Amino acid sequence: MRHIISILVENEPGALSRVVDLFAARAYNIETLTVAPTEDPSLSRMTIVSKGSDDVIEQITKHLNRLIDVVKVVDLVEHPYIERELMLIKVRAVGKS
Amino acid sequence: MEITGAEIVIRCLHEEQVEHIFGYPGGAVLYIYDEIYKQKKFQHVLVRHEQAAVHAADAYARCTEKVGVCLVTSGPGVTNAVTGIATAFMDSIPMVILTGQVPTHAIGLDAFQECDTVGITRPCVKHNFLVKDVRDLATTIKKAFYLARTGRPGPVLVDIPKDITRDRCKFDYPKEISMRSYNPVIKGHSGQIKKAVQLMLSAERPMIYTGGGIILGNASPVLRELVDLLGYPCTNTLMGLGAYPATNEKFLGMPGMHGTYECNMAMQNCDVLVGIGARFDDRVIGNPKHFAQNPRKIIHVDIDPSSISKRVKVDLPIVGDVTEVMREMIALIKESIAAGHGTNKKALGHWWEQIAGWRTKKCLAYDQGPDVIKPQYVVEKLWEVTQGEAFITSDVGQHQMFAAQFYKFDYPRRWINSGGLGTMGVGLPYAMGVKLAHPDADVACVTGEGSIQMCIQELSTCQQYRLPVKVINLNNRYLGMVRQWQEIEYESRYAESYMDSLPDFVKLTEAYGHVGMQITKPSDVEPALREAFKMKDRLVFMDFITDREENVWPMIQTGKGLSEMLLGSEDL
Repeated sequence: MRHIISILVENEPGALSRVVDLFAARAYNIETLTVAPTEDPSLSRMTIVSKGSDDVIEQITKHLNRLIDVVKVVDLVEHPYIERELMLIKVRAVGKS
Repeated sequence: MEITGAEIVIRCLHEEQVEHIFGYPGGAVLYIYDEIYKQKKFQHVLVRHEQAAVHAADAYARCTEKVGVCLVTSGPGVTNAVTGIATAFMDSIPMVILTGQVPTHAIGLDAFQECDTVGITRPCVKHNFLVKDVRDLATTIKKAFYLARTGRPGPVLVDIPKDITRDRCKFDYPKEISMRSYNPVIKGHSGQIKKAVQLMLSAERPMIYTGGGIILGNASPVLRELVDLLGYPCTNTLMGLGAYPATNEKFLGMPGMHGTYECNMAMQNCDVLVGIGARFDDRVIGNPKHFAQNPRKIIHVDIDPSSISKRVKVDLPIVGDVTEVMREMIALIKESIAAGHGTNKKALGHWWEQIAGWRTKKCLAYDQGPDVIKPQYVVEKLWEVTQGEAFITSDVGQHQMFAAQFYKFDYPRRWINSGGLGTMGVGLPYAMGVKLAHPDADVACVTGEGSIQMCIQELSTCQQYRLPVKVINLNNRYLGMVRQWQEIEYESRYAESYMDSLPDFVKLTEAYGHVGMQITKPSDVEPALREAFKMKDRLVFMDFITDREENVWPMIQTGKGLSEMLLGSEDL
């Protein structure tokens, strides 16, 4: 099943690596990943989309909670949620009329 | 007053009341070593290989209630230490590992003895830090100790670049520390505990199954009270041996792959299984599908939510400190008894009868003839000669299982072995760590001729620090456990499990300045052990030439269930 995991972490070097390692160590692919600081600059929010068996994702979620840098983990798919995609397209124009 | 980073490291260790650290110097940690030279509050133990420094600190933590501390240099110092760190991580051992790093300006430039320490160790530590500013050093070390010892314990690494140890700042060691992202749960959910107690009291065929969590949580006295109050059968895993006295009637022996028949049958056939500080791992439960065939209710108490329902679905999870949860359980059980309810005595009587039946199998029986020494016999005699009071460390393999099966541990923190990672070579450095923590106690390392050679250089450390441990080498001239698997599952094709050209262990030991003995006759086993343990101030290496092809029984083969044990070669 497809999961969208939202993770609030300390904005520290290495925090992203710790999170991503949990997926990599189980050979799970991350489909999309965004990271940005929150309104509190000492925290970052990561949003990860991954596909996998529910058991394994649950285990990953538990291990995410176990990471010292992680403040909060929510699997958005467990609740009603709105999903939006935004595509930015860069066009190379030659400039001839 | 401003002091250097190196001085800060030492002051932090003093604040934490560290008495021993294990390490090996090198370029990146020379400022720290210079400060170690100038102080007297703790002793530094110089090992012969960094792996042994970590193992010794790990054992030091396992046999006390303290945090083990070790110090190694950058690059190869760290990579050599990784096996030790992973070993401690798998068994949740509280440790602080201080590592040197190349100066901050050289990081990432392929400097001499540089490696990405936080990157390499990330998957095998509870947490790690790279210190980039001397003003963060004291707080970081404080955090490391705090993280190592609280919640589910584990190793924490602090990587300190060389320039940070030379930089100066004011020293201020925080008294308290709190981290918003780290709040281990201590108190269990009262509603869940109440439900668990109801389930436990209504059980007809109850079983209490506990693991390393009881040892780490210093919960052995409370566990004893709980088991005795209920009168239920109890088992301790390999990591939990000694939590409940092995000589007590209610103890059914160890569970799992080489567990006792009565214990595995009780695990499989119980109607309520109470797991406390144990993690239902593959060596304990066998095939989880087979385990699930028998209907039973499972209660699981653990401090780590990620341990719950990992391999086996649990009906009643309780997250919390095992001592706190068991105390609450005991209070509720006492209430129930006072109100005239309590346990189901009649059903319990039948259950004990059934267990008594399983016990008649005498699954650990072996036949000690007059000619060849059986490894089990050596461990049994070791138990007798030391009156069950010794600290026993082991390496990994058949000898480890024989030690676990035949040395009856009556106290916690006396059995020191690598249960999770299964690291060959830990035995001798483990014995060093234990002997430093308990200089007056008897310490024996039960090992084999394969494992001991993985860290044998530490005989030199034992000489330097006068660590009179006793090495019990069960020498069968085979990598015994590998050979056993090859015999049973690979039609006796003994691929690379025979070790040709072994050293003369007696001469080797003597070369290091210790006493060596070789014992070949069964009748010499006990007298030799008595003689060795009389030599209080000497390390004695006892090379027991044992039965070449003895196997560890019972055994559950890969993929089989708990009740599908092989009890001996006749079952093959």
